[in-house]
Amino acid sequence: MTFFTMAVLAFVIIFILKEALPVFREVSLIEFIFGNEWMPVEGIGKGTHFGIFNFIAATVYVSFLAMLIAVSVGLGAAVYLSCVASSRARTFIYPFIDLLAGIPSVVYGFIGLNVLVRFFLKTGVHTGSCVLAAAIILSVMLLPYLVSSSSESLLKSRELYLKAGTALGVDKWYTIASVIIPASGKSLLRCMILAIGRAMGETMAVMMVIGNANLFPTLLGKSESIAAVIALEMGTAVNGSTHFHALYAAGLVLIVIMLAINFGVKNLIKKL
Amino acid sequence: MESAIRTEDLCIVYGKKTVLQGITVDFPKNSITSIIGPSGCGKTTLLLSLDDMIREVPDAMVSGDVYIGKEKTSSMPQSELRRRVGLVFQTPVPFPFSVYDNLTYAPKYYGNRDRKNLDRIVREKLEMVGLYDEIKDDLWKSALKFSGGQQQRICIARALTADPDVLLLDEPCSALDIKSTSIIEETLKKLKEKYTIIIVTHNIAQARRLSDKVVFLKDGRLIEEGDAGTFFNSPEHPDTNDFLGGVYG
Ligand SMILES: Nc1ncnc2c1ncn2[C@@H]1O[C@H](COP(=O)(O)OP(=O)(O)OP(=O)(O)O)[C@@H](O)[C@H]1O
Ligand SMILES: [Mg+2]
Repeated sequence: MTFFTMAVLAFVIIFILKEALPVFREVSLIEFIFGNEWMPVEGIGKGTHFGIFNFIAATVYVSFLAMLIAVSVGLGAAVYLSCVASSRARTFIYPFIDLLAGIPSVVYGFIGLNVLVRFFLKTGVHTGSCVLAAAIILSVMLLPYLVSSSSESLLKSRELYLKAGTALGVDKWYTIASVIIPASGKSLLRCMILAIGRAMGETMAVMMVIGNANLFPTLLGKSESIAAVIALEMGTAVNGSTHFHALYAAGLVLIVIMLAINFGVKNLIKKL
Repeated sequence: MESAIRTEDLCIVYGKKTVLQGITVDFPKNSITSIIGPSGCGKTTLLLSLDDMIREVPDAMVSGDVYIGKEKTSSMPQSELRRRVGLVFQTPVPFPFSVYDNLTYAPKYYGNRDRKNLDRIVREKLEMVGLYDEIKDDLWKSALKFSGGQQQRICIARALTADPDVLLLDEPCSALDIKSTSIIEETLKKLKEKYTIIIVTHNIAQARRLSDKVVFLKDGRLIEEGDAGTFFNSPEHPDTNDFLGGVYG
């Protein structure tokens, strides 16, 4: 099984590498990653530029912001579900969480457009589309997954340790904060890496609300994620053109970032 | 003999099921009392009522009283009660921290921050359970990395760090081998000089070895109680005879 997944991963990477590498005949790696001009089709007298720095920044920015929101809300919900709610309430609530996880991302994008973007427009954000809107939508999409997986591991530690704390006369919330949450720390981190992977790859909902402009991400400004550029431009890029290869290279960068985070956090977990 | 803790007409109902009926029993100070009886007779329930942990069980209803010395436990703040009555579970559940952090957990919670003081508590309590010399170089090792018997003794030591008067143990040796069991028995015999010990056990031989007093329950009723010598040598009730003779168990 591991061999099979490794093989698939290797195949995907080789395939993308093959399609991506030709772009570096035109632009250097440094220019590609740190350049912030993206001009895939020749403008009048300007030439083409392939710099994806803003897209990388937007992807990382949106994902981490979404993660921050989702973790703070999600951890609260998970602690509630595992340590406060009765088991009857849990059996009632879990199916709803699973239901939320099953909603397709276009639908989330629609809700984002109709609710969030409109709201930001009213509060004076130019056109309403912005990085914050994308992060909020994304965090809502991550929530069900984060809540169900982290409440599971919290529930396990609660069953083990809450009685022991109570028997020592220690307040329930003190035990939750000092034993139960730290005891699930590793599995919470593991949930978070999986979630951040999903956040970085998520295309549709983000694309619908982020504004898609090649700008360095700011909280209330427009920007564009790597996944969104690829999805928006792949259809129009001429097969075999530098533009076409550049989009593959952008995909490669996305995979590398995801793998780096994955390995980084896994090593961190090992050291804990 | 002066009693450390006693119950008066204690009744416990789980939902619709009556689990303990009219239990009036006292547990003498500085001695070991064993609670024995067939499986499901209510031993654990009786033990948990003594420090009110029974209220953590959903749908448990309690009537009757428990007294520590002259005080009713129902009128004491719960945290004080739990502090004065320590509880050790059947399977050892050390927190997933170092031994040192396990043993300073309760003292820190109760406001003890002085490093020297904490060091002293750790050493003293580990000595009480005969573990100090064995693990003094591993105090910062995770408590989960010790053997079952050592973990159980760490848990006994942890219960002692809250400075209880009474120590409750629910079948503390049922998951342990003979050697660890006899070490824990020796530990308990020493501890009774300082603490009142109440132990639930399904092992009659263990009750014989340890007890000063025995309490025998069956179907939620107190069948017979008395000092260990009389109880084992000339029990009064026919059910006790049957139980000791291994008719059921
Ligand atoms: N949470 C609960 N809800 C409902 N009934 C319970 C609960 N806990 C225990 N009981 C029932 O109460 C009775 C007494 O249980 P208790 O655990 O006190 O028995 P015990 O003497 O400790 O048994 P054992 O020797 O098997 O540990 C049993 O019949 C049991 O099925
Ligand atoms: Mg029991």
